[in-house]
Amino acid sequence: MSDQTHLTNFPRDKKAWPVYITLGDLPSGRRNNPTSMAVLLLALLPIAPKLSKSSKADQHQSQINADTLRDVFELIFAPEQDPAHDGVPIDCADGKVRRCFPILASWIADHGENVALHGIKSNVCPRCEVPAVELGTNMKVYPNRDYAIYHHYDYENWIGETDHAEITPESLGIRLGQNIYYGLIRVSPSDLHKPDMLHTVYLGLFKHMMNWIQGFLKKHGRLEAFDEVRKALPDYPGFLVPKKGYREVTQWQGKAMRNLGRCVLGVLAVALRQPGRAQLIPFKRTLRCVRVLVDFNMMAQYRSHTAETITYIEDYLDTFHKMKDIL
Amino acid sequence: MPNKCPFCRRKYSRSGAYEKHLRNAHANLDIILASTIKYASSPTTTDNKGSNILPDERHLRLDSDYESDPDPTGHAYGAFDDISHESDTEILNETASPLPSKRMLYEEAGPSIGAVKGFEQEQSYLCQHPWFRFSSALHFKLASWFIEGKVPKSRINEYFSNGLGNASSAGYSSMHTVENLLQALDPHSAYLQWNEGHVDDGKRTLPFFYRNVLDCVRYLLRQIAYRDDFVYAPRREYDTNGQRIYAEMHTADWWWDLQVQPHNPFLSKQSLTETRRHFRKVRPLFRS
Repeated sequence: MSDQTHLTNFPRDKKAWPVYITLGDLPSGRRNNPTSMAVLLLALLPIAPKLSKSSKADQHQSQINADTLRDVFELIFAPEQDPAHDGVPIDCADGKVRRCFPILASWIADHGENVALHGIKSNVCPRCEVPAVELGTNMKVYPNRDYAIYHHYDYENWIGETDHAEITPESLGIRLGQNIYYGLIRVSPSDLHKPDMLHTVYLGLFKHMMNWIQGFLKKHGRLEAFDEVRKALPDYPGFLVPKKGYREVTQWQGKAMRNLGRCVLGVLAVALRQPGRAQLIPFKRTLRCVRVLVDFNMMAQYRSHTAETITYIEDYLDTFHKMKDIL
Repeated sequence: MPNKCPFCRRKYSRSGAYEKHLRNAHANLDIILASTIKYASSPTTTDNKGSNILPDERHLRLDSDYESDPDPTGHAYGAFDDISHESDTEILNETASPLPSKRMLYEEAGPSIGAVKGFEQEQSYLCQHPWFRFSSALHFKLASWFIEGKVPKSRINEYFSNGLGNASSAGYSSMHTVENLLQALDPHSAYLQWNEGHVDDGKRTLPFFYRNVLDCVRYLLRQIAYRDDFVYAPRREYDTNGQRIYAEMHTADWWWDLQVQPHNPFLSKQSLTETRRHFRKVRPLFRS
């Protein structure tokens, strides 16, 4: 996993870009526990200065930077490539030696970083070929990105013997040759991206939904009621009473969003009480829409799933996408 | 911010721990019992977990209402632990994953191919000298108290220079020596060496730092602290209805699928090197 971060202890625009590593052999409870220290700092990457997109020279420079980043990762992953293919004997904690295949299995990062690491444009998905206009529709399942085929097509396009002239890196939203994972042994770059609660649900779906809800409440004149009810909530362990209204908070953090996710349905139900005749149906639909997303959020946090719970999750998400037009 | 339990004097900052406390310590209160029953019979996967864990624990702690009561099970309530660090996870299940009714192991996966050299001696030596590097338990505990209490280095040095601690018997007399001892405590620290590299982007040279990936893996796999947690082989787990359970990484498909294909033709090393070389050549085309 990696996360580019600002160093607040240093003056001006200093940034750090740490990359961490941990093992999938450890159960998640152990791995994610900060006190068990199962996550090691693997690298501190160089950060190129910010460039504008406008000038040609800067575009060229950002190309060079992307290539450099690729080379840096190639250097970092180099010791792991042969063992990933052939295995290597490693001493294990129980006193036995095992033949191990260290393979990169997932990469947790925010979207901005995925864009840099996968070499994609910022408005496309790192995982599948969904076109930018269909993002957020959940209508159709698109195939996963396969960089080997893209490279192959591109080569054919280049030499002119092609049946796939319409498939270009531009049409796919990728920058060919800039995916740092392409070429790693036993790694499929599109599988590395894993959705996580923070970025996908709290800062993704929930944030969108809240913005829509704000618009909806404003339209129906219930905005003040919503904020008042939120501030009037009693406290409970693990739940912080919000002191500010939704619009007064400039930067929503995952924790605050989680707090909001816990209370939003109840608060909304109170804020939308006693609807007028014309408001009855939209209010009902809104509550249903929010409810399925909250349900989705709850189900997604299950530590284990069966086929049954997964169908629940899919149903919730489908319903949300069907209902969201009300907001 | 920790909140007080309305029925006793305990404080909790995490709802999971608070609920557990309510279920266990105040199980005789009707209102809590009602919610407990509801909890235990919640649908789908939690079913197994809930009904397995609740009854015996509640039974054990029925009458320990007060803070001063010794914990009958010997478990800490987790109250202090809970307050000291706020975890980011929503619901922290302290309990193990739900017990699957049927397990399918991947045969022949993760076999041992030998014993680690000197492992037995190392273990037996540790058993005989548990405080090795420190002269006694007292001095180890003192050092760990310094570190965990985040005592500043200067204060630790003061502690010894003012004669508060007996430096000669402790084996360390300053922060410097304590640090050295602590570093020597980790027998595998050699795996965690830093390398420095430089990138030249045409305008300036930027430094970056990295560790050897493989050594990091070796380091983690070697940690005795995780000995009982490691999973060396993928498996498939099923619940009582015969439905597949997906929980940890080793119960999902990725590992299993990768284990069955020792030689993926698509990723053979030779073709890979060729494609790489090839695209190194082609890449400049897209630059202009």
